Amino acid sequence: MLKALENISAFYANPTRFMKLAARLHAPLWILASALLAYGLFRAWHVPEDYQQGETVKIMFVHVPAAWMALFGYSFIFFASVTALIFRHPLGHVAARAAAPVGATFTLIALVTGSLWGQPMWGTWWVWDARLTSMLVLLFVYLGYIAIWQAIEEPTRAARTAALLAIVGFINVPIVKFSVDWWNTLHQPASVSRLARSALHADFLYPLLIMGAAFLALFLALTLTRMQMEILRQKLRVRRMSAN
Amino acid sequence: MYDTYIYASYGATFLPLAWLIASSFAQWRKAKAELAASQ
Repeated sequence: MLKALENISAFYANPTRFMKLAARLHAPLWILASALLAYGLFRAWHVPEDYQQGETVKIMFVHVPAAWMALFGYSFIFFASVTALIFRHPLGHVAARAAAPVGATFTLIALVTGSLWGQPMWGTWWVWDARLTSMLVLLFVYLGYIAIWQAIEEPTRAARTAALLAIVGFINVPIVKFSVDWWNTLHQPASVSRLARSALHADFLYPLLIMGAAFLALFLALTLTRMQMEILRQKLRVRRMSAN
Repeated sequence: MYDTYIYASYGATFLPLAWLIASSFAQWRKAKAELAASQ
C-alpha cells in the first residue's frame, strides 16, 4: 500500500504529468462539489427546528463544516510542506501555497459564522475562550504563511521559509481540536466524533455530513485549480528568465 | 426572530467563497493566456 502510494507520488512529481491528471479531474471535481453543495443546502434548509436553538441550528451547517475545513486545510499544508522539505517532492510547495488562501477563507468563515451564532445563543459576539482564541491564532498563522510568499521575492527561499512556518504552526491544530476538552470553554465539545456515537439526531447529522463532504469537494476543487495556476506561473517565470 | 443571523451566516459563508472561486479562475485564465502569449 505504502509502496503503491510512493510510486504514484513519484510518477506525478513531474509537473507535466500532474497537469494532465489535473485537467482530467478538474471538471468532475467541480461538478461533484456543486452537486453536493446543492443537495446539502436543500437538506440543511429543511431540517426541523431544534428544541433549544430553534431555527438558528441552520447556522451549524455552514459553521461546523467550515471549521472542519480550516483544520483540514492546515493539515494539508503541513503534510505538503513536510513532503517538499524532507522528500523534496517538487509539487509539495505548489500544493501548500495553493491551499493556503482556501484554508484561510474557511477559517474566516468559521470565525464569522461562529460569532453570528454566538450572539443569539450565548448573548455575545466573542469571548476569549480557548477554542475561539486558538481559531483566531490559526487565521493569523494562515495569513503569516501567505504573507511570506508575498514578501520574499526569491521563490526557493520563500518556499523554504513558508514551509518552516507551516511545520511550526501545526502545533496549533491539536490545540484548536482539543481545546474544548483541555479547558473549560463556552464553546461546546465536539458533537460528531469518529470514535463515539454522535450527539446529533439523524435529522441534523446527515445534512451536516453532506455539507461536510460538499465543503471537502470544494476545498479540493479550489486547491486543484490554484495548483494548476501556480504551475502555469512557474512555467511562465522560467520562460521569462530564459528569454532574458 | 433569528432570521437575520441565519441569512447573515449564509451570506458570510458564500460571498467569500464566491469571491475566492471567481478570483482563482480569473488568475488561472490569466496565467494560461500569458503563457500562451509568451510562446
